[in-house]
Amino acid sequence: MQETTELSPESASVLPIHSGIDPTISIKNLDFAYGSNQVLHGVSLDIYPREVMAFIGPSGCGKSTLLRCLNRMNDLVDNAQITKGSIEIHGNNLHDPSVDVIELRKKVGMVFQKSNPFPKSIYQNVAYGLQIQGVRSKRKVDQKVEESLRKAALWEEVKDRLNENAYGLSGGQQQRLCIARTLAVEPEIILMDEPCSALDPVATGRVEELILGLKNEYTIVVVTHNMQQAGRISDRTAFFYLGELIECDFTKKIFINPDKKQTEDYISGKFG
Amino acid sequence: MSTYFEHNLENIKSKLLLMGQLASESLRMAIEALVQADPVLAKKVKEKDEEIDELENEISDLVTTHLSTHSPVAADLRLLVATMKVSHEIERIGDEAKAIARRSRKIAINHFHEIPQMAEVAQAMLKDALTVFAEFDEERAKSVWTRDLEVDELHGENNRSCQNMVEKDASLASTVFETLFISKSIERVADHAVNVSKEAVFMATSRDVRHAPEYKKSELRKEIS
Repeated sequence: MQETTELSPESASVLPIHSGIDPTISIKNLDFAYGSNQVLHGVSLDIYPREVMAFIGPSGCGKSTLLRCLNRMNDLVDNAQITKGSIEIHGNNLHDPSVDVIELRKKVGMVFQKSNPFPKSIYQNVAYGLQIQGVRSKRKVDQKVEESLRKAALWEEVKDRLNENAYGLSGGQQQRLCIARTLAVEPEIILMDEPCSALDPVATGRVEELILGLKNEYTIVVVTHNMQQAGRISDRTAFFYLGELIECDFTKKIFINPDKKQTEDYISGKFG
Repeated sequence: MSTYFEHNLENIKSKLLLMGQLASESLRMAIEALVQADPVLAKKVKEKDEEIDELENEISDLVTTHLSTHSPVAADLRLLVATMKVSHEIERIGDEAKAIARRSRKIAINHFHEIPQMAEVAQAMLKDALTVFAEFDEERAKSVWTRDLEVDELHGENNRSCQNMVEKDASLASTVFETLFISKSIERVADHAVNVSKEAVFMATSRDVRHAPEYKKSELRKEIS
């Protein structure tokens, strides 16, 4: 199925606003394996500045693995390795020995499926990243905490209880707190692995609104099982199946008239 | 996909095609009522129109429910969007048939001019448009659009001969107006058939050809000539 990983000239096209702009992330012919189990096969994909890219596909198709490759989270998994190809951010290979992984993860933040605030105050959750970076000025930290909470659309709800434990927040608020924590260290790229799967529709709506607002400043990659969510928030959608990129195109095109039958069958709920 | 989901879509499509058949039958009866000056048949057209209206409501309800509960995408979404639009076109065809039947009581057979011929072309166009919707065939869809030019021509001829008639004999004005209204109704049926076939193109290919320059009447005329 090698040919399915090749994007057609049409589908490889970018949004008009991106024409002439270099991609932020460039994934080139990537193979990835957990030990002898190869889970990504020849994936090539460019992700552009200030776009929301959705990764969709059935469980086990490799979308979360690819997401985790983008900030080397898979380095923490035994025997997990890229066996071919590369990932570049602004033309720099992510796996070059000179890359500082801590710096990389500051630049490429991640929000997980289940909100995972630290057992600390709301304030401390957001300030933590800054403090371990060595920012000592309380004024600067205060400013950054407020700015991040505002960007995460949480400030108005928590400004009077910043010193309360983050566990007292609702699930949706906790997830937005995690987004604020990610924003505080000034990333360029935000990776989101099913960020709303544990949230109710109202909380989901708030996070989705937040994502749409954040894309003015950040490049966002979202893994989601929710087709409607991909339709609502992403500019382009990439469909993966059995570790291969089957099709990547504008989200409207994918959801109205995808090129590949496998894509159509999946988004229509015929398999997966 | 669940068979329930598939069954729902098939059911909606079947109802639409049934609605199309009723409209086609209704048009045939209206023209027959006109040609044979048959008021009983004309009354039956009115009853059929009520059936068509009921089906439109039913389809609208089914599509709305399906959209809200299944969030369909791709071909399924296009089918439902096109179905909503086509059901409206067919409902209007039913209305035109009813109007023809109503007017059939008011005019004499010798003033029909090109109407039976027009009706024959419009009925064939409607039949083909519904066939294209059921089983897509781009060439057949295009033949519907080109035949619309023929109906337009016949409607134009009707206009001219009606004008001549009134000029020769002003007492025929009332009959002439009725004839013109009937001619206009058939011309509208042909337009609706064109719209149905254009929605079929959208449904099958996702191309929106409703206002595509290459399918405008002026371009089609050039192509034919």
